[in-house]
Amino acid sequence: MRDLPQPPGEPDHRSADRYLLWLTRKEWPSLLWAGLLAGGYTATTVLMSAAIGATLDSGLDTRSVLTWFGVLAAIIVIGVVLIPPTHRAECFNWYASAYRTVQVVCSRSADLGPTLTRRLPSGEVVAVGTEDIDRIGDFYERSSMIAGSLVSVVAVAVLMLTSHVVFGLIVLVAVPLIMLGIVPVLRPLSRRQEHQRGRTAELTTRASDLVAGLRVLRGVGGERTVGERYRDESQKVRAAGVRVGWMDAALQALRELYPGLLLVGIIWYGARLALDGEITIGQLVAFYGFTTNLAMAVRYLMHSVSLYISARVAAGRVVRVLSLDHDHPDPVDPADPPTGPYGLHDPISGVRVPAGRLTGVVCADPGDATAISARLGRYEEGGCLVEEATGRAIALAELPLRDVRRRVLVATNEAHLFSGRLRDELAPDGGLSEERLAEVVRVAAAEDVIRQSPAGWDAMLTERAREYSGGQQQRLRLARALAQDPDVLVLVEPASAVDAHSEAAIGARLAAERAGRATALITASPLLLDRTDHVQFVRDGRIVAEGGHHDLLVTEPDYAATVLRTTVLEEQP
Amino acid sequence: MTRTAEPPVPARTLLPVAPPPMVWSRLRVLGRRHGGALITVIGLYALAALAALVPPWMLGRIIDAVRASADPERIDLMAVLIVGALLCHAGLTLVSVALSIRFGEAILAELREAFVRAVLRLPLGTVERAGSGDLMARTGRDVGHLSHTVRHSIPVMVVSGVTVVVIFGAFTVLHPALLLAWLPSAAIIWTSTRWYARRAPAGYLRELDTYSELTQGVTDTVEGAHTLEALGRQDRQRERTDARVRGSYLAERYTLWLRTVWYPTLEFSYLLPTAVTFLVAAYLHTQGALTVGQIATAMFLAVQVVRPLDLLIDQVDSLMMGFTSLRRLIGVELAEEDAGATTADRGTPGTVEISGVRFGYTDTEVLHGVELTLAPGERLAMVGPSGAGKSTLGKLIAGIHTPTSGSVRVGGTDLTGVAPEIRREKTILLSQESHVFRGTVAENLALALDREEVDHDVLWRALAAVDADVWVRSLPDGLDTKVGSGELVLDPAHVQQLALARVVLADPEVLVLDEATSLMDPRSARHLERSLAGVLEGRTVVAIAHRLHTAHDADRIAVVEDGRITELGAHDELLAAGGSYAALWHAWHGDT
Repeated sequence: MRDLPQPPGEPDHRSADRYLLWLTRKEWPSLLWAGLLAGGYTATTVLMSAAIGATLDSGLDTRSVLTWFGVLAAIIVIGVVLIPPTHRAECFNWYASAYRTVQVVCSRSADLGPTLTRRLPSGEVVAVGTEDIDRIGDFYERSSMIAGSLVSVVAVAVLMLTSHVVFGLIVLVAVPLIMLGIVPVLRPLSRRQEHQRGRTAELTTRASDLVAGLRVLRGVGGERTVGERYRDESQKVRAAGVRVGWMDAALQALRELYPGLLLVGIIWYGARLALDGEITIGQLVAFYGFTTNLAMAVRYLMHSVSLYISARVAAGRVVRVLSLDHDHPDPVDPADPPTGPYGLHDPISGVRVPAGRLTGVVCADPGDATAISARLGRYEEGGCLVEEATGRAIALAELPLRDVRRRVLVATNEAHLFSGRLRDELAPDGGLSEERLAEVVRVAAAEDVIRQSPAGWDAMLTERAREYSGGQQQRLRLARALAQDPDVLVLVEPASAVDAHSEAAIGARLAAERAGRATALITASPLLLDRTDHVQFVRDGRIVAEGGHHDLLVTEPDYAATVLRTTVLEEQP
Repeated sequence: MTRTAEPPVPARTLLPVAPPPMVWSRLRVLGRRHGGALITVIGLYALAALAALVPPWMLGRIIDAVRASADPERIDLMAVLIVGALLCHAGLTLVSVALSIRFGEAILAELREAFVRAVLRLPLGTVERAGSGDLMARTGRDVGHLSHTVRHSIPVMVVSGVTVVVIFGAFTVLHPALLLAWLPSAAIIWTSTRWYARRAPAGYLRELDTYSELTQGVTDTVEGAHTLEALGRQDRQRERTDARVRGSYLAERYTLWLRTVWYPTLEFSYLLPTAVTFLVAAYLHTQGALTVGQIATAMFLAVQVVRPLDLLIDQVDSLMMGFTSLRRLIGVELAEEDAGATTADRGTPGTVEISGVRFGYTDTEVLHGVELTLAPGERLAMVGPSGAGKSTLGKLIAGIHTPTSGSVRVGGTDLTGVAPEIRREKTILLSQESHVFRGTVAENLALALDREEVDHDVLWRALAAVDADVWVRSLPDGLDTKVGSGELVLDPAHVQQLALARVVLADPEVLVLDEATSLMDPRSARHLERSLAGVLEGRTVVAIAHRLHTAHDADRIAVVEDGRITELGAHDELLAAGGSYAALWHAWHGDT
């Protein structure tokens, strides 16, 4: 058994079927192996039927009874020996396909970044990674049955053809007919299953929403309303399940009926021939046995079909995530990356973030701050890099996005903190020395956060670092951004939730930490602005004044009103 | 195959898992309620199983007829009988499967709804410790396992069990000695299944835990996709996903190992009787007790019993999975909050009395003896460095935590053991982090009143109180605009305003605001606080804020340092005193 997980590779996400085909291609040796083993096993069951027939023709004296007992036992032992490797191969196929699907979905989610949650509800994507993988895994686990059933059909057809041509032909005609007879049920089954899956996904989304907002519900109230809404949705899922149930039941009934009718035909015709002495009793019995083998094969094939339908619905949802295009595609023909020091420029507002300086950006309207930081980080189009030496402007859209992200980091307060070790959360790829970690934590005035847990750097963060207060989380985010050490760092209100002493400390330490690189502070905090080299004041989306913080305080009353923490409330317009 | 080492149990504190007796008693309750439906389904299946025995039975009769060179018309008649039996079988299968699915869906819905009801009664502290991944895994994966068990395994068990019983009955009718062929098998099945059943539950429990971790990883990846991309940590996240997948794989390997031992012994026990039946039947034939046709019937019955027997025992796995999932689903009820007292002590509404309060989350004490009394309608601001215990004190006032020693009384009531409905009338804490539920803006607000239909004028007044009426009016459908995950995403400042509006609607006697306006820009925040003050006139407000506007506007200020209140007084007094608050005030203004 190979080790898992394997590197997932590049999935084919053009359609659900292509995705399943891709998985099949990736796992073909193990799928083939499972198929061969399952085929071997079903071959023993067909042999068993042949042997039972032969026993009855053997005369049933002591010697032949013991001989045939030996033959039957031998066939059984072969079958038993095949069981463990078959089961292991089948399970492996479940793991391999389900895990690969989780891997590609997670991988694609990480690559899509903000595009993902804008396009799909997060609960739906989580459901893909938790529920749809089961459906896909189930199909691949049982896909060996397809091979097994085909072996069974072929073996029976050959054995019957060789002993009586008409019986062989009956089998060859009847099996495809039986399969076709099922088709009318499959379409509504598939449609109803899809409906049920949709409902179930909605229910999961609702449950995840409920869990995510549990603090609010338990704190402020609303459990009853939300609980009732969940119950309504749950009842809809139940109704959808019952509707699928009728189709499922019809399918099962047909699965029993059709092969049964074939069986009657064979027995009746065989008995008439046996009466005429054209075939022996043993042959008649063997034909009966073969037909039960066939019935089993047909049942397995149909079961595979319904598993395939479920897997296809699941794969459709996987493909929906995988085929999302990033809102900001990479340029076909990327521009030359900047050489030497460079800064950032937003032509729409006029904001500039030159290399080697700590630039303050103050927006009279907070909406402007959001728009400017989005353009500077290429979450919206418009920003560009500016080479310091030549003044050459390179639009961010002309560079590969990963390159942009590596060079420019826009750190906002919405950034997610992940569960895991604190040390890993702060350090960028490749890790960071303890001294350097201590340094960025000092700049972010977050020493108390590290001290809070006796495990220190090895403290485990829970989901979203919820055990830390808002101010502590904010300083962890800041430390993480500083540890990343990008050429251009845009900090959006990095100290809005911390106490004044820490705020002042952050302001005082930031300039030295970022020496030589371009840094923008989009903030209204006078404590931070006091430490900047240069401040740009934006009103109505454009720069209206720039200069030193203290100069602007004097020359621009509007600026002063925005940043000064006066205790006399100014009248709102 | 070497035995795979048992994978380590994940370190995260997970929610409790119900002990088996609790699950059994729940199942008994369900059984009592749905017993009638279950018996109907079993009865129908039994009839279906009987109909399925007609073909092998008839085969024997036909063989004997052929050997006796009977009239061909007798054979035709027998064939017609088989067709009739088949049609009955198909019809009964249709009805019984459909009914069993309907039965299963009803039970499933009941169980998952009970689970969500329990989730909605979880104490806040528990939820935060367990993370939402574990809860999500329970709502998704465990409900899924359970649904497989209920929708698939239980019908299969019923039909297989009935079929096995009917076939063994048929053996007895043919010749009781035929049952001897099954004695060794019964012993092997019993022994090996016991061996397996002793080891499997622990293995499956661990397996489900690793899937909880995997779900947590998926949730983290999806919800943090923005950040992963910004920090270029996609590759690292891929490695983490791989590590979690690996954890699940190792857990799976253990149970797979168990099955690798168990399955072949089972298979041997099913198949061996076919050969032994032949031996016994042939012997009985020589004694003249069985005809050749009956040998054929006996052997095909032996073959035919394999599948239902296999399915029946195969469900042991699925049943254990289902049982484990049920333990995890019902286990949430163990963490449920007690219903609590529904009457509160009489006292002056809006007062807060804290005396000698000590508290720690772990062994480390966070608050070291706090004394504080608030008059009704008083507005207190709490300031001080991060980690000094302000938020903790806020949570104690709101009744989220209970002090280790000392007492907290709100409106004269000790909130320990009080029903949440009563507690919320007394006090509500609003923290920085909020959540927007999927639904309309109106639905989001109406939660606070816990009513589906709420007069929109009431909602507009609450929105106006938090300065949110203007932007809500500008939304495409106003109050009926759909928001939340997958719909319109509100910016964090607006989310805070909605959260505040909810609290205005809830209208508690004492309101604790923990950085509740921190994500808004300072000027809007201050304006909001002023308009809020008007609406909350007469309500006691404890505001934790680093923005000292809030402190300046408050009646009194408490400076919390190192788990104690070190200064307490009005703004001007504290400023004149020249202590910590004065230093903080100057620092905040950038005066050096």
